[in-house]
Amino acid sequence: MIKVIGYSTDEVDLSTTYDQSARVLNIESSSMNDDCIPFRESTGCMVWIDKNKIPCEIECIFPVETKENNLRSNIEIFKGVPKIEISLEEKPIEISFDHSQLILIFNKHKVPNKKYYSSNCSFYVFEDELVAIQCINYKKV
Amino acid sequence: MGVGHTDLVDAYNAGLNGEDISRTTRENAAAGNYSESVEAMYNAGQADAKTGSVDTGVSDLGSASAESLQGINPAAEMGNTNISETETSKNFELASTVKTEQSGTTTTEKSGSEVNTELEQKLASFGFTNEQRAVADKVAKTGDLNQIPGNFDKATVQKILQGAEVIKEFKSKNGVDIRKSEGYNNSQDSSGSNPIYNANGDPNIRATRRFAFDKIRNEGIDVDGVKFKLNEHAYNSMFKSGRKDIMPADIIDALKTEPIPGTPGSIQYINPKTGTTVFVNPLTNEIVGIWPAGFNK
Repeated sequence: MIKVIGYSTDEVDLSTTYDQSARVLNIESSSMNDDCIPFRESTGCMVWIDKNKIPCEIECIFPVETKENNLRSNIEIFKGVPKIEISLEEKPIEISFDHSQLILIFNKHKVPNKKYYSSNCSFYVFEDELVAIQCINYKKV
Repeated sequence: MGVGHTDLVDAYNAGLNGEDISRTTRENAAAGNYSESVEAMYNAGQADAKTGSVDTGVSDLGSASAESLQGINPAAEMGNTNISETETSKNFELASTVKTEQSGTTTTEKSGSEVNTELEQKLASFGFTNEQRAVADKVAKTGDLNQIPGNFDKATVQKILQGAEVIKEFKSKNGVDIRKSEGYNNSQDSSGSNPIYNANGDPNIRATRRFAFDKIRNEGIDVDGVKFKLNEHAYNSMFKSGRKDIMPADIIDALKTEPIPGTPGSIQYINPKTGTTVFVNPLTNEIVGIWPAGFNK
């Protein structure tokens, strides 16, 4: 589970790649560096965060592809990137994508009530739980 | 290891193809006490069969933009070093004696260290003993960290590695043969020497990784009779922040363990000494991801 504990208004440049043949999803920020600390979110998902708890890279191995998503548009919106804490929780990670956007779904059972957006990604949150990330302009290889 | 791996692959394929797990696989799993893993892989295959490959079709939620062509993993180009076979005539021979204690036995061997006044001046600041100096020379020549006796402390090992780099650089400038350093990346050898699992930020050790990973990507790697491939994504990831210290030996020793089910469609091998996880596609035996141990795992 990814718990949101606050957010930063600093601009972060994020880029997303989905290697469909290898089935590996990667979201990486421009601030990723060797000092970032890796945390397992689940068996198939690793998240690197920096000292300020900002996610710098998320990699998912063999996410489950789906056509559904849990996003809504009528929600509170904040500009920035959430600060997070991660605890290991065994559950499948799902992704839903089309030609223009990819949605990484951490918890499909919860409907978000707010989102944080920065650069190409929006972080959807229900209460204090990060439930999905929407990535536009992603690269599919 | 090979039997368990094959059985897991068979179980996954059976699930994927809607077939029963073969009797042989069940018997092997029962004998090897990994029936639960086989069942999990079978279920994973079934899950993947249900999921299938999915076309697009997400509901319209955001602004539609053209697909970006911007990559995130620029693979640095690195050619193999051209190595001269010639030796400088300025060098002369020094026979030094090396005593190495391993497993309670002492062996004595001659080291043919070559001495050059200029080189020795460069090495003076390290304050090497004769033994350490000879080991540094061997490491510089072979790139094999197993040449370093196991009873050396960390500071001495660091000193030797730095000295070896000075020797390599000097000899390279003077046209002396320096072998490529794939030995830095060997897994545990028959002598029981400890492999280097983590570069710990040492640029000298990190520098040895490219050649070894290039070789694994190009030729694959045989671990206990099973041939693994390294896909492009996993290869590129080894040179990204957060993974630059993972050494090939760490991965190889992970692949020697019994695999366990990963996310549906994958199996994972975990090095028990480091926690490094290697994800493999059991259908292709391709390494698709390599992660360091997480802080919460």
